[in-house]
Amino acid sequence: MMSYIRAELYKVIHRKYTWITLGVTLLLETLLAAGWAYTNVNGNRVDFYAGTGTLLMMLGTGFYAGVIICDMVFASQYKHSTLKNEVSFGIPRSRIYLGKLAVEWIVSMLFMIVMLGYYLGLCYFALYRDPELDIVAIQMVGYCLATALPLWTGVLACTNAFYFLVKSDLGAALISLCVFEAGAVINLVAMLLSGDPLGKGLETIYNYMPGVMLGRAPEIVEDWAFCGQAWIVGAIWLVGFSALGILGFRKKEIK
Amino acid sequence: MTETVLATHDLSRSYGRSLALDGVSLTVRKGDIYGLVGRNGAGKTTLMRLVTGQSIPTEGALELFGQTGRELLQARQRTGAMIEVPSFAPFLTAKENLEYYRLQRGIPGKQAVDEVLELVGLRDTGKKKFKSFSLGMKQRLGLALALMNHPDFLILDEPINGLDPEGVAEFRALLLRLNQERETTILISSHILTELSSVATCYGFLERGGLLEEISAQTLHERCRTCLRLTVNDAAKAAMLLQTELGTENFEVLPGNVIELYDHLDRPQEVSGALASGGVALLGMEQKSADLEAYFLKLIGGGKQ
Repeated sequence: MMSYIRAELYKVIHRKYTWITLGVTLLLETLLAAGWAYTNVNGNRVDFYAGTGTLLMMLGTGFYAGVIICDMVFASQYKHSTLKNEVSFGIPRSRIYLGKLAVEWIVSMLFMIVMLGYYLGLCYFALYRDPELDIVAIQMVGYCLATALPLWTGVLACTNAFYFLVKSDLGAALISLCVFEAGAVINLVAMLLSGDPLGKGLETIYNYMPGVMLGRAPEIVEDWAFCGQAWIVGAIWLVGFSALGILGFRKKEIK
Repeated sequence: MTETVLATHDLSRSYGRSLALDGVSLTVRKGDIYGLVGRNGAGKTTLMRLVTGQSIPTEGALELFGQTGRELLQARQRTGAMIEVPSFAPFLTAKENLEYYRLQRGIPGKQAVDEVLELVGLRDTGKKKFKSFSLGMKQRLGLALALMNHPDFLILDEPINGLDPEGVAEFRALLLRLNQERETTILISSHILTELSSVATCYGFLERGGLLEEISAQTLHERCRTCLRLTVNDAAKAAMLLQTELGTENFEVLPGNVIELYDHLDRPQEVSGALASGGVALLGMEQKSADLEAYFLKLIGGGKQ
């Protein structure tokens, strides 16, 4: 497995895609922080706390970032027919599947560390600071990350499964996005069936959708029970979608 | 007894109602260069895809180095394969692509990449990405990947497609060298039968998913040798005359009063004289030489059509 992960990381590092994506993201962060700083020059008072607060509102973008990371690591292997080189050498399909998932997770974490560190650094140096509020902001970031991490991982597993099961990259990305956004439809149906046991069930499912949980995280800081629920939901998504993906990929014709 | 490298037992693969491979049982022994011959859609690539695990058999089983089931995965690590068109990451160079697979396969030593690039004549491609390669260069890189782990068994599907004449000659020499020096067993398919016949030591003829025949190159050579094809009015009498007048038994009597005579090729007058002396009318005489292509066409003509 380690050889497989090393090779995949080698491929990701040697793609322009990786560096362009990172560069564009950092540029956007720079523009955002520069925007705050500019308003401060003109009499506004945006501080580190407010800057990080904006970041926490955007935790959901982690799901979409997951799609980009999957695309980066999977590298259109169906389109370029390169999976046959791996399968014909006798690399077990489960290793191929889990190896890609592991690399997607590693790359996601590295991206997150760089992006988050860079943004927090920008806010720290470019915006107003208040020692007491700064600590609160850091605590909020810590809590939200602890809650978001398992949810991001679960959703990454979901995207990875579709990249293996659907031969079109675009198709896989679209299906993944539909799954993330399914919460809105579930909520709508739950409201239509309110009072009905099925409606109640759908409402419960809605409340435990990763997107919904992630949206609530910044509002209920330091509710560690909620954080624990996020880990359980993330684990269910991770195990469920990985099992589905591996089962489907094991029987798949590699062309 | 020679070790069996690959054995398939009633191997079948269907796609919906279409049967791509129909109960094929063949054996490739250590040191063989096994030529797979068949028309487009005969099942050659399907067979190779089953052997390499890219496709899963609908029925039947296969053994690789005596291993079956889950052990096949280990056995496949002793193989190198190039099936259909060579496929690589288009955004990487030749060296980067091979380095990626070297890491993935756990092949020790970075020099393995340079060595194999040198072997296939791709050492000087520099920073050129795979997407800019010509078909011939892609074939060479595919071959490099297949050879990088020093395989005991090489599986090559149409490997000389896109190679220039020099490349074909180099490739032929390389295959023979690998086979003779490293005892690499090779399973190869090609539409260019003259090329196949210059390297293969045995053949499997596939037609419509079924294996028509498996023969050694020696047997094929015997069957394809040059002969005088005689059409006479009385084959039995003519056979007797060939024995008594010319002192030869090196002929075959075929249906339709046809005799194939494998000697006296440069003395057709003696043959016609001997037959005339015995009162046998010679209705036709031609020199016939069959090659792999003619043999194959004859075989599929009398096959399942």
